[in-house]
Parts: sequence; structure tokens; C-alpha cells
Amino acid sequence: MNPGGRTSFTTIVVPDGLSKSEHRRAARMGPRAVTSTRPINVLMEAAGFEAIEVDDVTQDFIDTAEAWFKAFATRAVELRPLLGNEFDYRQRARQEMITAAGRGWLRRLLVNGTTPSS
Amino acid sequence: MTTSKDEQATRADFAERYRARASIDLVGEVEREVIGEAWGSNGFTTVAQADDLRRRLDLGAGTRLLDVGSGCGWPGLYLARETGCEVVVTDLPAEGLVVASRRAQHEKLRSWGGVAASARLLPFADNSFDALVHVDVIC
Repeated sequence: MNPGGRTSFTTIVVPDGLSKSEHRRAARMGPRAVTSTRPINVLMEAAGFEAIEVDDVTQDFIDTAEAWFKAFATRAVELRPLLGNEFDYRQRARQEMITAAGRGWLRRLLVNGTTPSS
Repeated sequence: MTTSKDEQATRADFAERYRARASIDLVGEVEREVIGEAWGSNGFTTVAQADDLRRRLDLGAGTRLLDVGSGCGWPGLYLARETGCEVVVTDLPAEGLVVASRRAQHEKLRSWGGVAASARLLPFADNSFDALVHVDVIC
């Protein structure tokens, strides 16, 4: 990154404060890469970013996942033959993520930061 | 390039999805309904959220953007189209980058590149980019 560079990204994390079994279940129910156990602001600072801002956008995540689930369910008759096993895989994954996020086991964060100016 | 077993599994999984998706217009129709545009995305970032990222990154002509784990080009190519910034999209499955290449040509993007690379081992020199984006790739 150039000096004064900017990053803005979303990431899905397992929040602090869960029991070990809840953490394991959350990691299974989330996207494949949900594995980090360190807070995102700590990771950002370690990577050299400053002016770090973290916003919780979990509800947006739930809304979009529900929209995907409903849109696929509405067109199941057409989509299932086209996608085969992939159809049920995606729907099951969405349902699990919606459930996990609703229980507070997954959070989606919008992370912003800048690199030092010089 | 060495990749972990998890990356290899992810790569195979997504490569299959990109191959299957390429000819399925109906999935694109659903994506437009859910996300707002069809970019071969199966994720959770809508056009409205991508526009928010665009504002936060202050993108424009002369800005060089890196999109990590871009899949078929979302949201990096979209952000380049909307702002005129230069963009490099990266991901491991080459199938996704092939789709991204076709889309970049369709969108008549002049300053873009696609690189097959792991997010853990990006092949770029320091000070190569002004902005970095990814959506739910690195968790």
C-alpha cells in the first residue's frame, strides 16, 4: 500500500465471549475462512494500519442472506435441476449462517483503515 | 506456489461453481434481484454496500485499487467501472478470473488486471496500490 492508502472491507467473524463449543459450532456454520480468534482491530494495527474504524453490519448480512434464501426457494423448481447438489448446499449454508448470526455467533464487520502518510 | 489444504479445497469448490454458473442466466437474474447487479457473486455485498465502499475508499481516475478474492470480479471491476480507477483483481481459481476477464472486456475497462494468487502470498511490490478492498474473503 502507498503511504496514505486506504482500505475498506467486510469480514465475518466469531465474536469474543462464546464458549469453546459455541465457537466451534459458529466456525462450522460460518464461511470456510472464519478461523481467526484475534480481534480485527488488533490484526489491523499489527498490519500497520491507523485510523481504524470497525462498524457492525451484521443485520445487513442477515438481510442479504435471507434475500438469497427466499429468492432461491421461490425458484427452487427451476434452479434445483440446473444446480444439482449445489442448490441444497447453498441453501443449507445460508440457513446456517442466518441462524448463527441471529444467535450472535457470527458478526459481519465493516473495517476501515489507512496506512501512515509517510 | 504452495497453498494450504483449505485453500486447495476452496479453490476446487469455487472453480466448480464458476464453471456451472457461466451458462446459467437464471442465477444471474436471482443475483440482480438480491444484489442489484449480476457479477457471478454468491456473497452478501449488495450494490448499495459496494457504493459505500467506493465512497470510503475515495476511488477515482488515477487511483490504483487491489481487490483480494474477487472471484468473477465483484466488486473490483464494478468499482473500476463506476469510478474510472485502475484495478487489479486476484483470486485462486483461474475459472473466476476468466469470467472476470470477459466481463472487463464487456464493460470496456481499460485499466484492469487479473492475477491468480493467494491472499496469503500476494505477488506485489510495496507501494503498489492506493486502496485495498475485499468482501468477506479474509475472516
